[in-house]
Amino acid sequence: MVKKLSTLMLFSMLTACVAKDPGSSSSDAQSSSSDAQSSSPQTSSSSSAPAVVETRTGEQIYSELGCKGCHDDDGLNELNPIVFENWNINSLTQKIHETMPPKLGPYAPELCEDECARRVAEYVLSLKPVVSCNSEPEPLPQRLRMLTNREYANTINDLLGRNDGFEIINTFEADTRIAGYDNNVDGSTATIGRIDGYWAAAEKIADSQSNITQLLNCGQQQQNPTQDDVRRCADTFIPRFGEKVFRRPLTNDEVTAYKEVFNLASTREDGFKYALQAFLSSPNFLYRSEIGAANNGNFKLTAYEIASLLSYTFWGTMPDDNLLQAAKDGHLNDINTLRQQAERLLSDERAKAQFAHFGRQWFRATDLSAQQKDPALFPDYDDQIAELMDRELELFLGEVFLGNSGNGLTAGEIYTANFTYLNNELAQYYGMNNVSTSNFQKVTVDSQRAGLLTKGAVLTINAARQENHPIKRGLLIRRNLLCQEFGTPPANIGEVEPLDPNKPLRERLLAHSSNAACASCHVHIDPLGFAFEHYDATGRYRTFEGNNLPIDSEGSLIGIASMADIDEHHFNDLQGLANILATEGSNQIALCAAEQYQRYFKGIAEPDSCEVSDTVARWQGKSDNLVDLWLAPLADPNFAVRK
Amino acid sequence: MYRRDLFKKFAVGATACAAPMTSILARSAMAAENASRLKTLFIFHPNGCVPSYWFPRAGTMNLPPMTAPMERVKQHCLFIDGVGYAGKPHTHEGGSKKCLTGFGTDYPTVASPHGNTSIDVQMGKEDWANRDQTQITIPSIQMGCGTQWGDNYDKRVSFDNNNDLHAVDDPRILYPKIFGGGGGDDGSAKLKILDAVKDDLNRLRTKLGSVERERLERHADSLAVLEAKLNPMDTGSMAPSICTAAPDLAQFGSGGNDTLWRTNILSTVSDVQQDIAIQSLACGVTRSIAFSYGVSVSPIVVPGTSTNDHDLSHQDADAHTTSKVWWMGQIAQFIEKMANTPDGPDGSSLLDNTIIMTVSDLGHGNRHNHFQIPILLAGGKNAGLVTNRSIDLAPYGQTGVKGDQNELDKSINHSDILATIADRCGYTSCVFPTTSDNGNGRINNAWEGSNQP
Repeated sequence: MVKKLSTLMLFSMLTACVAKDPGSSSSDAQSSSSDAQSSSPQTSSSSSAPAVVETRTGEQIYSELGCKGCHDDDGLNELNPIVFENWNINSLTQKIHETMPPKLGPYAPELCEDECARRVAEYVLSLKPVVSCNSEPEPLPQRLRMLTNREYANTINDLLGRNDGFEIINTFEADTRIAGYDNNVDGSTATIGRIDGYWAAAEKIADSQSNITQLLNCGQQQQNPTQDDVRRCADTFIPRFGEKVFRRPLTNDEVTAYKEVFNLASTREDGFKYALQAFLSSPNFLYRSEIGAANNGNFKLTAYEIASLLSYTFWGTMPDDNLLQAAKDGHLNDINTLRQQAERLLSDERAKAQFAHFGRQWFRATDLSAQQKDPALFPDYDDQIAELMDRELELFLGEVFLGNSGNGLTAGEIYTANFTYLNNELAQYYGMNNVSTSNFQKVTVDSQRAGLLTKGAVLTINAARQENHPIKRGLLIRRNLLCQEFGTPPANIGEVEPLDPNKPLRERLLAHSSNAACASCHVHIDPLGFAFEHYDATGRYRTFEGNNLPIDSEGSLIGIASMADIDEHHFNDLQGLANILATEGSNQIALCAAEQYQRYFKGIAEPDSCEVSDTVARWQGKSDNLVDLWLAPLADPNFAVRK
Repeated sequence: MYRRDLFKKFAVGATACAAPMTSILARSAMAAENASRLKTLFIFHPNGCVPSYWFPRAGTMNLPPMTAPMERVKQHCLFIDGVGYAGKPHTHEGGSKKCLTGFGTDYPTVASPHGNTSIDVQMGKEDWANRDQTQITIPSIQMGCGTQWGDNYDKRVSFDNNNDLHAVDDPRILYPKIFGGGGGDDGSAKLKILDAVKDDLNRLRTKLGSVERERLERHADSLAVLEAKLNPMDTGSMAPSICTAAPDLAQFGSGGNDTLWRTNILSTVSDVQQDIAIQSLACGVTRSIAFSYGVSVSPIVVPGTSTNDHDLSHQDADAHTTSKVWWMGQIAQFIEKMANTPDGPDGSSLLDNTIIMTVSDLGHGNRHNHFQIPILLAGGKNAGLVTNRSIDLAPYGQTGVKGDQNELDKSINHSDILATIADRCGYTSCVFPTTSDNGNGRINNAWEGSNQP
């Protein structure tokens, strides 16, 4: 149920938190909460000094008190940004009144309360960039996208019929993650280490390739091959194989160059190895091109570039023969063929694995294997359980995102779907006895295990070694599911009480709500994290914590679309929270799903908000099925355009 | 003594990993010829400290709890209290960005011709540009131990013109990169293959013109380093054992990088990574290394602790000490190994010829500030660094330097230390934007034994 809070109530809540600070008196809180007229904190001031008439403008104060120093002229300092979306005039005035400039260390700066705070708040909000979606959306720039390690592994496997691609990439430096994703264009650079790794891998692959004769396809080799025999083989092999490696036909110069490499050898096999090492070390292999050809002042991606864009987005690997043939035939310029090809890719099992990869990044569920838990507290949790949880998540995401026959579910069902995938070992770990084999199978579950948020992998990653981590879990909801951001945590934060089996975690985190500087953000984070309290740090359901302490998972989500809003949605537990997301929050989670998908699809950190809205419109103009979200970019007029 | 130990240990695993190639032999000559050249090692440790638990009181060398593990190497150390990171932002990530670059916003800065580039990288670039003299084969090395989450762009400490560089914490990846490759029976063919790759790149650069120019220039630079590695000069010298030794990489198995983040293996990884760093410096592969112990907001659980490093930094001082002592113990071991590694014909040790500087992302870990950064210098005897001391430069600093909550606390700017190191090593291209006194700030007096900068 939506309960509209009055501004007064929100301030009462905030002030009540402040009142828990030993430095604040209860009468301060009362004076604030009793003043129904004031949505600004004028009458809630704890200062007893005579009021000073503020004559400066908000802009002057913003400069004189050093606000500009931290937040920059536009309020958007890279690491101290004001997240305009999170504030309205009342809440920002309150925030400034109570916490700005930071009163830290022994030297308190000039305070900015009451009218001063209001003026600065007005000025700051006037800085909020005006978003107009009236202008034509800008195409992405021409660019080269380096293969991610995962893309490299898949490509090697598909190109050469190998199955050790993921072992080979263990020798590579890690991809750079930006905004959670490994395929951000700005993250992929040809460092010394990466280039060295690619070279060494190419050498290893060439030396260990076993099906050379089949790949060469040059017919029967003579018993004593001549150089002419080698050359003839190169003549057919290089252009045919090169087209697969570069994902486009080779130019004449390239054909000549690679034939020369092949012909360095005295046998076909060695020629293959030399050419393969060169191919796999070439920038034309390592980068997928989004350069295009000049067209009406911009650049239109070639059919081959479109084929790669589709293939790496939906499969995380090179285009197959079907897609390359469609490119060669020029069919990918036709929107209907394009969509048919995309639907074909999405109905393939490779898409499930790739979209699970996207989902893991979206939901911060990568690196589960790196999670360490205290064996004394969680003796049943081990690497094997972690691996099973990861498999459960992969299968769940694959089905939610793409369904069993190319029909995915809705965004809301990500959080409420009443099924999961389990084998007997994981089922027993969860305390369920409805699976008897070691093979994973789809299982109908009750609310305790419904939806993404109850998946062991998500719960385990968003937890600490010894106990739960409500902050991580709350931030997962705000940042990743609702796409709401926070500014930088304040300095001089309080100490967090360590694990104490006789004191509920919720109580030990009270510092977050008793300190005004912390509370303004944590009031939006912690209650959501506490909703998970019935699940321990290794994903098991529990009915008590520590030494038989009761669990309180009740709370409210305040501000679904924006934390500046005051709509309040009460829940009793995690499933209640999930239901709120799926129903009252359906618009916001759809918008966030589109934003996250644009990060992944475009390889950029900050998608244009207008284009995100356009994507949602295209998607939900078709249906609310997630598959139509994945296909929505195809209808974007700039899908195949670069500038 | 150390060299024998190192060789013995490496020899055990020599058959289990890529054997050092002929390029190593060439490097031995470099080591002999260039041993007197100063080297640098910048060591990052995560999540700041509690200053009163980290710094000995100025003028004494009674080490408090966090630096107690440094006792055995304190004679090689100069603890410098009263140093801040200038400018904004004063966050974990801001500190990571500042610590080796001297980058900071909202502070008078000196224009840098190399953008936001860290000291290790810029030194490496200068050495690379002069490689006919330096004879290095890798400009600089970014490495570490337990850099879980280090794949996030904002957790890294090394930068090349605003591009963050990954600190490789897996010896299975790092060692072959530094010491593998080159030579072989078909070395000539390999170079021709590389030529073909370079031709491909050049065709692409020509085709694209100004589009993606920076990306492709970096690609070309990296191919040049690869080419040098494949095409070593053969000086005919015999290699010292330290240059032909190889670590036991098989002990780490074949699992992913994350298997090396486990608490029970961290000490072993640290040990081998230190050996690789020492080998790289001693054999003249490079002269500049940035070594990251963990990353900011490090989730690593180090030996002797019960929860992750970052969480401990937000508990009380005693709790934070339980993890900080592990990092400091590793740094002490690093220093000790370098002190025991001969370097050059004059009887100097590698430590004598290397300037070590520790940095962190924060000063006080729980307060999230950039004041009293846990900095120490070590080694550098042949650079005139006077050690076995603890000084506090705050009284000689300025207020407002840090750009954070300690507005009225005095401190000197850490860029002054970076600039002093660059000077002492003879580098001329390094600019750290927040260096005080319009770029002229230095700590030369403190360097040479004074209590003043």
